[in-house]
Amino acid sequence: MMTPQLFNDIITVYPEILMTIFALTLIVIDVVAGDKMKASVGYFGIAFVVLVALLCPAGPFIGFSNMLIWDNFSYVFFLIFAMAYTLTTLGSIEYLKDRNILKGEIYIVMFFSLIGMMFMVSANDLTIFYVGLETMAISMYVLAGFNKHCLKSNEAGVKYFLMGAFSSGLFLYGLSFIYGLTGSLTYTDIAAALQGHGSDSLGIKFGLLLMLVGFAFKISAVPFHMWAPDVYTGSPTPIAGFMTVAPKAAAFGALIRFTWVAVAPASEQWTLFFTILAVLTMTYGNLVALAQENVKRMLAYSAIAHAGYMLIGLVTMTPEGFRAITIYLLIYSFMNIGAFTVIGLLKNKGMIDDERIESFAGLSKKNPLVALAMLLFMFSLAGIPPLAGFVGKFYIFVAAIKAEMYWLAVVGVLNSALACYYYMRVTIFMYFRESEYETELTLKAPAFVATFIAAVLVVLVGFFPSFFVNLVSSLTV
Amino acid sequence: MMENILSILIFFPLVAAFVIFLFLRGGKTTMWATFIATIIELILTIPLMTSFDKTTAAMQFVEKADWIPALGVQYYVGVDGISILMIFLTTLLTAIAVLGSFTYIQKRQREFYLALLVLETGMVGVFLALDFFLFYIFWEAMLIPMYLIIGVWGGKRRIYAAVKFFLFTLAGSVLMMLAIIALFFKHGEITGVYTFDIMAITAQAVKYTAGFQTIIFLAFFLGFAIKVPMFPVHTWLPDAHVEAPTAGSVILAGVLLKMGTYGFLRFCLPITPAASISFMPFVAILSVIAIVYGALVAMVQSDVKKLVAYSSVSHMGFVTLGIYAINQAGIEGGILQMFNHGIITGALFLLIGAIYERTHTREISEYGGIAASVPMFATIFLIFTMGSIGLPGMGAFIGEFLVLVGAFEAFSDYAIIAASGVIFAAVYMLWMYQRVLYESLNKRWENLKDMNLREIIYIMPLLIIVFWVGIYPETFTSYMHESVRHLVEQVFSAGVAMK
Repeated sequence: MMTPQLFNDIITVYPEILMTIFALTLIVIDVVAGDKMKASVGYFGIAFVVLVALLCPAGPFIGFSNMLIWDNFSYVFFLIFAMAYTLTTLGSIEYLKDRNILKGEIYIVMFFSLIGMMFMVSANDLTIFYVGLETMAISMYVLAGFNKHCLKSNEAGVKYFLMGAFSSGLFLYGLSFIYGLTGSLTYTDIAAALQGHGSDSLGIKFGLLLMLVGFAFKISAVPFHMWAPDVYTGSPTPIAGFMTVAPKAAAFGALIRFTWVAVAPASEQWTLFFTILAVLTMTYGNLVALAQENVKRMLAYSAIAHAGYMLIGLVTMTPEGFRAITIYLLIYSFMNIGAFTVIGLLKNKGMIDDERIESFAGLSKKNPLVALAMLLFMFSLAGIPPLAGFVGKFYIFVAAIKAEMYWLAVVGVLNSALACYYYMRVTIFMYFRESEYETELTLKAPAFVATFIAAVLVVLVGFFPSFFVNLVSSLTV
Repeated sequence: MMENILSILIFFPLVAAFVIFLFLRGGKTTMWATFIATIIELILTIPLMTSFDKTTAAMQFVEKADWIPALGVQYYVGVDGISILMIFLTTLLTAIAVLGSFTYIQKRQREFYLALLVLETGMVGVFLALDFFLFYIFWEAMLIPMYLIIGVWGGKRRIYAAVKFFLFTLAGSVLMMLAIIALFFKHGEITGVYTFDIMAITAQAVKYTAGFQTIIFLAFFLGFAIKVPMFPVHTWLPDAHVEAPTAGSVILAGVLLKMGTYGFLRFCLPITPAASISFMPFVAILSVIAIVYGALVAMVQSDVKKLVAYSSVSHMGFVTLGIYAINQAGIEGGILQMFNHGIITGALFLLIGAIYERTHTREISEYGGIAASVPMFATIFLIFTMGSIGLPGMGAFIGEFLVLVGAFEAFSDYAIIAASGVIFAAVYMLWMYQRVLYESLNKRWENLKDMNLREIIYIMPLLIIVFWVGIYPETFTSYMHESVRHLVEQVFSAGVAMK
């Protein structure tokens, strides 16, 4: 006999249930598919993700005694994950084939990571969040080291695992403090306890600090970023694109819910923490990116800088700020993965991985369309209108000014002007320099589709941001 | 058609670029198609000019539609007496720049002409936008095609010049973006309506406190001053001009620089009137420095193009001086001078480009005596040299005269020093002319070919306009009387109200 309560609980977790069923189906498909057909696992994965996006119930539903929430906020984040998954899958097929590592597992593991991410964002309870976090993180460790023939990829996997485990430990330690002092793991209860007892106790401060450090690790905020550049650089390139987008989005989504719902009463403690992180992250990420000669590494550092911009939205402590982060992540997902897809397909004769900036020289002559797409990604990442990246940045700065954090907005815009230089360098090589040695870049159908979708979105969302804006404009946590 | 004329003007080049991109493959065909598109665009401005109502300061041919309603962003365009001449200048110079590039651009023609068309959309858009968000989009959107034009088709140090141009402009405009957002919230705070509508934000100018106005003014000022460019943020200009291909130089000098001064007129003066009045002497000093310094530096240049580039710094100094006199004569002179500078400097760059194509040098010292072998070129070049100096009977004279009249009224000391710029201009221009075209003939240039029909065709309209403005300026100034009168009133009434 199904009680209304049980029904409600099931509806709340329904998208995750669907995803899990589909994930298991993918395993079956992988078993059935022949060696030449492994890409089909990925295509099925895309179809399933799209199906879930269509079948998701309209929220909000709160289930499992307030531990899990399915609302528009969760849904929009699911869309970000779905977009990241779709574009990465399309962009990775050729890449993996060329390196002889096209296995069905990669798409299945990615699919499982999505489930973890969904739990992270929908969690209203630290246990659920933690389970989601680990599901995602373990999948990520596997993905980072997926190219087992490549030393760098191995290193990335191990490094990610060690640092991830370390940050998880810190997080758990902080969590136990919070639990001990507030008596609950549910966000709303924590908030009530903080409201009642005040947040001045040293234990609460210490616990909160440790938890936030755990979050800072996940969003690769300086100074907790040290794993990120090596992991991003070492991972298979399209997967690196996925890593800079989806796990980061999940961490931000969870962080938003956690700070907004659970520890809003203690906002004095954490806004300062995140303000410092935001400034450090933006500035450090950009300065180091400036010096990179390897485009993938440059994008890795720029991914750190982008986390810094998003943190501005967080420290405003306003719904506008959170919505700005969401829209930023939506846009960031396709433009960054687009850029990684292009890098992944660049090949130097005799040497398969070639990410040096010199290899982009003369690309505009050899492959004008791809060069144009890359140009759009670069300028969009730099935040030049009328491209999509500008819309994201604009919202962040609007939120900052609305919250009267002028100096932070000024730091942000100066940083984005600075960032422009290293993005421009790629275009300089593509358009203004003659190629010195032979590199080739051929886009076969799937990667072409991924690049094309991303490039069209970059232009279209820049001109008509209304759809995305409306999507997030009514979001509440 | 007339009710959508502005949208057509803005988007026609973009649509043309898209169609050409999809359907035409060859460089030559793209070239011709682009030329035809820019001519159509130019013809489209004629009904705009003729049906423009000169008796009102109101925005005309207004089009308004919601764009991002959640944020109060509209697609809002309109034209008044301040912007209409700039539109004409833009469409005219773009068409001429295309014709002037026919033989100059040899590599990757297709991309070059497409970039020009995209650029044109951005330029026309900037002058017509009446929504801050829209304005900012157009303002920044031009950067990418111009960056490519300088960087791909430019001279030896083109990459350096392109990057410098891009980063300077960007650095200036990002702060402008913050100012725009701040205005958005200020207006919302005062009226309860959150909008980027420039006219609405301007209408509340009286209510912005002096401190707020100062901050906004400075943020805007930096962005616009870099674009003009004013001393001391002018250093990107000589590099960009020298390295850009002819069409790039023409557009850069003819249109892009005007966006800075247009910004002063459209935003700084009416939105921050109190700050504008208090910063009058400051801007005047910078303008005078630009006039004198630009002229002195121009004098010692060994490269013809660089000389003209520095002369732009000097001439644009007159424009800012006139605008910041904040009176009818000064501002009208400033706007007319914007127009004149576009025509004359555009023509000079075209002529230099034409001779460069033949000689592959721009070093003044390598020329000498070529007047004998290219009489037609020599004559036309002389006319525009005289135009640049400001000889009576030609456009620049009227413009500079009005500026100086306005400046004398507002701050006579500075005006006296500024007037010396006219003398300096005569020195460096005539000296250059003498060294390039007279003196003993360099043997290398004995068989130099004179201007051909195509070159004469593209220079003719500019030639006619230079004399037209000089002899009967009323044709052009009549567009701006009402708008300028309204602007001056607006600034002073707001300034008085704030005291």
